[in-house]
Amino acid sequence: MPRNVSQGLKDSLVAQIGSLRAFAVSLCGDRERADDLVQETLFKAWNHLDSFKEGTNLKAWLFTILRNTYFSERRKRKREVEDADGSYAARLSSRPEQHGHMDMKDFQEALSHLPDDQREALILVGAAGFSYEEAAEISGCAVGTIKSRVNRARSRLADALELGDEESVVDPLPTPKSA
Amino acid sequence: MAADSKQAKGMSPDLQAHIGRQVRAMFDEVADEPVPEHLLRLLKELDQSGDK
Repeated sequence: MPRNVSQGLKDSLVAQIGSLRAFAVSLCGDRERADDLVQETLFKAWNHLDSFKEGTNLKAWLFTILRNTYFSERRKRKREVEDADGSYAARLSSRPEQHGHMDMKDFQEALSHLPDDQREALILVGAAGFSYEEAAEISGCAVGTIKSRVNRARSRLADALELGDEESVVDPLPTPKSA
Repeated sequence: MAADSKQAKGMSPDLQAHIGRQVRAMFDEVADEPVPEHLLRLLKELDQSGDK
């Protein structure tokens, strides 16, 4: 438990909540669970503030806690129910429509079909403003791996959007006719 | 990885820009929302419990 948390650090913590929520929603596709994730992240962060060096990248540190929390829970859950991206997609499509843009809905749908690691990489680099190096550190992998995940995510999304229908990210190759 | 960069290069710049905009728009939509009360409350409570 940290003793004297400076007001500056508290303010910086609060300032990151918006991005943390956005990251959590894009990871799990569910706003309620996303807020639980953020809450857990803030709790863990607070209790480990001693291990955070002030002046280093607080945002990256918080994002790391959040994604580790998400992925370790997911691994646990996955063992219980084998439901890789099915549940995410189902939650998304059953969600009431919040905005009229058809474009955005298609996009979210396509994004929900990406593998977790590709979605994460794309969000970190493409939306949250991290460099490839920072994203690699957050995800605990090599910079090359992040680059390749981002590229893969982009081309899968491009395929899905070009097809422009619910078949989304399914392999764009035609199904061979069986004899 | 070679295959990936080939794929990325094959993508039209318009499409790539479109995807970039969508990812950011989706993220910002949530990021710009006001912080939910219960999260602010949590921090306050953690802060006060440390004072004791």
